[in-house]
Amino acid sequence: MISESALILRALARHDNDAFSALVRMHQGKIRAYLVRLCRSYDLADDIAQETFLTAFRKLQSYKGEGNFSGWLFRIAHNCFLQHIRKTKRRIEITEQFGTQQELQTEQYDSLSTEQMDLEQALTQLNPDETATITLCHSYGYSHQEVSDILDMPLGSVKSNISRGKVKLQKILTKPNGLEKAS
Amino acid sequence: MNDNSDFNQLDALLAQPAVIADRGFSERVKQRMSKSNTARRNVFLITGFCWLALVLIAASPQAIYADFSTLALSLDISSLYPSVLNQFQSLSSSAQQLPYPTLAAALLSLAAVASMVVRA
Repeated sequence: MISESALILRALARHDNDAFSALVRMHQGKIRAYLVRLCRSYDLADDIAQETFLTAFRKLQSYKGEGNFSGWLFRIAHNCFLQHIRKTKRRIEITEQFGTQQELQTEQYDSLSTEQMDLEQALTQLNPDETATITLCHSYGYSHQEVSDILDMPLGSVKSNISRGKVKLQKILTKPNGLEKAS
Repeated sequence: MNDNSDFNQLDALLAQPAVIADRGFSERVKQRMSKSNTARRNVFLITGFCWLALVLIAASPQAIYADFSTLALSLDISSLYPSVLNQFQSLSSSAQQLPYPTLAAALLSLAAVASMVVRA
């Protein structure tokens, strides 16, 4: 199997569609799962994820190998998400609408345990900043500083969003009827 | 229940994120990438033709004057016509004084800058 860095070099040097497609296959699962948590809609997340990868393909020359490639993709994905919100000017509507309307579609995932289903539902009750910071830090293993760079958010805000979000999650998951609001 | 152990459980759960299945997503992105490549190729092709046209025009400043005059005559800008004509005439006389290689180089530079802007 070709390594990620070899694929990046191939995509960069020859503008190779196949090499970049292999990178898309490698990272799409995480990027889309992240966007689903933010958008609370599978279709919208798919659209933004497509835009993310196309933007990454166009701007691949600007990736200088500083930091890891998935961090760079998460940064683009987050910017695309914010751009979409600004464009539609429906941040509140999206948050409220999808926060209450989204049904968890288990068939969309590779595999999903009951606990993971509960977690995904619980995450819909957090605000986008809390969801983004917790997902990047705890689910994808980025440090607070890296999350701060990816989201272009002050380090203090990253930490406070994480701790506030985790307390909320804890409450939702331990309350017997905590998930009723989300379902 | 112990808060720390609750948070440890939450951390463990968060550390196993759900991953969305591909289900043709990569293929859709690949198709859109190919389309954007085609559009890109077309833009460069058009830029190339424009470049060629500019070189051909640069070979004859008199032709530019003639073309502009014809265009000005075909448009209904009677009130502006005298000043436009004056400008064209001054353009024509200055172009005649300009050596052809300089004019061609200037136009090629302009085309190169336009091409770079398109690429960016």
